[in-house]
Amino acid sequence: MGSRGRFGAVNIGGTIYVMGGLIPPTGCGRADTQAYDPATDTWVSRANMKVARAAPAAAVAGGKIYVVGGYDFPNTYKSAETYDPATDTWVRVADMSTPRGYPVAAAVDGKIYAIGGATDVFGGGGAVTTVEMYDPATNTWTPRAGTHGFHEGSGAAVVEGIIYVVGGWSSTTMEAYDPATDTWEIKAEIPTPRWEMGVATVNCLVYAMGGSTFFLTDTVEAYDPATDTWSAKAGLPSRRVDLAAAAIGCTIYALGGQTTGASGYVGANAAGAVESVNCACLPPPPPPPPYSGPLRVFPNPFRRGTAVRGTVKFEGVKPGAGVRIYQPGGLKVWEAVAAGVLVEWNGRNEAGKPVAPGVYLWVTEDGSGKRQGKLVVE
Amino acid sequence: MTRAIGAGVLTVVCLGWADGGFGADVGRGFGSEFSVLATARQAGTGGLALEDPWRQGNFVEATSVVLSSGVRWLEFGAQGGAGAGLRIGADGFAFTPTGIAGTSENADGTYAGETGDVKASSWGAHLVGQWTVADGGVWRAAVVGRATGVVQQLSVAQSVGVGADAGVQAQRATGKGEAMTFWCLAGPLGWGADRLFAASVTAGAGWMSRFTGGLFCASEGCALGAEGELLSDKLVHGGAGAVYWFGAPSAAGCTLSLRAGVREASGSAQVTQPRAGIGMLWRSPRGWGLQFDYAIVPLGELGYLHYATLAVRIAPPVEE
Repeated sequence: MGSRGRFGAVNIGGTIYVMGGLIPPTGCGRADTQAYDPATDTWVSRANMKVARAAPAAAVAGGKIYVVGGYDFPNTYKSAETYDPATDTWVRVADMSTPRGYPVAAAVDGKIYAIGGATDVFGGGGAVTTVEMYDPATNTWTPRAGTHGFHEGSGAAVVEGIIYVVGGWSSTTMEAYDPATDTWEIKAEIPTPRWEMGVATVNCLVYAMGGSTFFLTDTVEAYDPATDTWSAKAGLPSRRVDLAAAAIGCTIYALGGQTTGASGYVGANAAGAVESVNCACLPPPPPPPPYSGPLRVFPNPFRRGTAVRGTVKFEGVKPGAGVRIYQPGGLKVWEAVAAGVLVEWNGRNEAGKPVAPGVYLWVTEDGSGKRQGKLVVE
Repeated sequence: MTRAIGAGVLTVVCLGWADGGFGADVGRGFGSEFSVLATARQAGTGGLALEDPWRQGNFVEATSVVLSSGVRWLEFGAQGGAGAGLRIGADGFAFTPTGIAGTSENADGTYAGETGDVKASSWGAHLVGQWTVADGGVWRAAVVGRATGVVQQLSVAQSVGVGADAGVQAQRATGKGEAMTFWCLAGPLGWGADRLFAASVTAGAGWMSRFTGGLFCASEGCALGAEGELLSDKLVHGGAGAVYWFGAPSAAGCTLSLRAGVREASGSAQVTQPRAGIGMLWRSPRGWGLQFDYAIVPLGELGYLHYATLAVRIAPPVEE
């Protein structure tokens, strides 16, 4: 793709789009757009943005790319525009209420969220905690709850409808935003504070890679929202800052960025597979197939207070067969008909009273025929 | 019912304790497996001691072995009695099931594997006393008391039970038959030794069990009987049976007998158990003797329950 840094990058349908960026050593932005096809490993030029932007933020909603903010000396933008891959056209949309340089953006349920950034990159305007939500249906921006900390040069990703914003200049803060409740929650700090990093999501994990920790870094750390923990992952092939990242399948692509001071930006460099599974949030594992082996009765002895679910399990029962519990003298204590291969007895008789401690007899059927045995109730 | 006056008290109370469900419903420390503590003579007639050729005089009787072919377990018991107006008796039992496959589970409730055989056993004893407070020949009345101790040594926990019951018995006996009613106020206690002093002691005082039955003696060698039992939890147990002796059981010599009966239990433990038995009695003119009895009780899908009793009589000479 050629050299590019401080740009936006997104994935639409397996194609990576990069747009904007900084023209070093000036403070000027760029408007060009490129598209990368991993299948052919080729880049093609696409239509330029309406506004040249360095350090914008990009997100995808409704099959379109939305780019917000950024700067182009001496301006810091509150403008936004959208790109339709089908028509290869950019269109301006309503401006945000606040100029944002180095913001982050994310999309949830068709809405675009512009988060943080600096109001005046060249004039010393500080970072903001404000958040705005864009609704493509109404072409309007709406203020939303602000972040707890300042996020400028941060990274953002979405996992299961929650927006995660990580790091930023001099920030270790990790925050999670729930659009449904319009609330932000502080999460575990990233072990290696960084800014102007690449962020992508694979398999419900948020990967933060590269960036600057006052020094360029090639480290990669992954955040697991399920456990609110970070873990170290395989590092990038090279140290870089001002990069962007996008994930396709199980591969995260670390794109561009600056590797050696301010002299220039490198091209795209695939970071390679950091996970061997599909990047989509994995569905729950399928239930194990019904047990089909010989009958198993457990636990034996049975202690009502410690047994899981307070029951004795008869696993491997022939569906439709009865499970009967007897006193040793032949009096029936309990009976049930197996709806599946698992029947559980709670240690009570049919009147609902706990049976006395002692030895009981059980009878049932499994695939090989009638089975019976003894069970100790303590 | 109905060993009437004498050693029958042992049987009546024993059945009351066992089948009455006190163990299962009240005394959490009690098991009910010693419900099978009965002689083969009783077992063969549906639990009824329709005949007791040794009912007169003192005696000692041992050993009862119970074996189920379906699940294989053994039980031993002994009982004895002495006295006339005041009679006391005792019996004991040991219950040692084998072949209990131990298993465990994982924290998620899935099967974890086998853990080897589980060891469990029960033993205990009953002490019974009966005092005949009124004896009008045909009518008799007695008060009955009983103390029970049971220990169940399970694989981990140990359950201990003690009980004290009291009852009254009224009986009318003629040459052709008997009728009896027995009311028992049971008060068992039990606790698990592993939870000792942990508020798990249970008490069942106030539980009432009632036995009422009748016995018709068609001849010295033939008797028919039936009884009903109202349990504290509204369950009803009943039994009916008959015995036929090929000879006079009260005479010296060897006599064979055939027995048949049925036991019925209502409620959730509903079961009908027919049973049959044979017996051989040899009585010495000097008063002592031997009796061997065998009974078989089909337990449906559980297999068969086999009773075998060898009784030894040590008693005064038979009255000719």
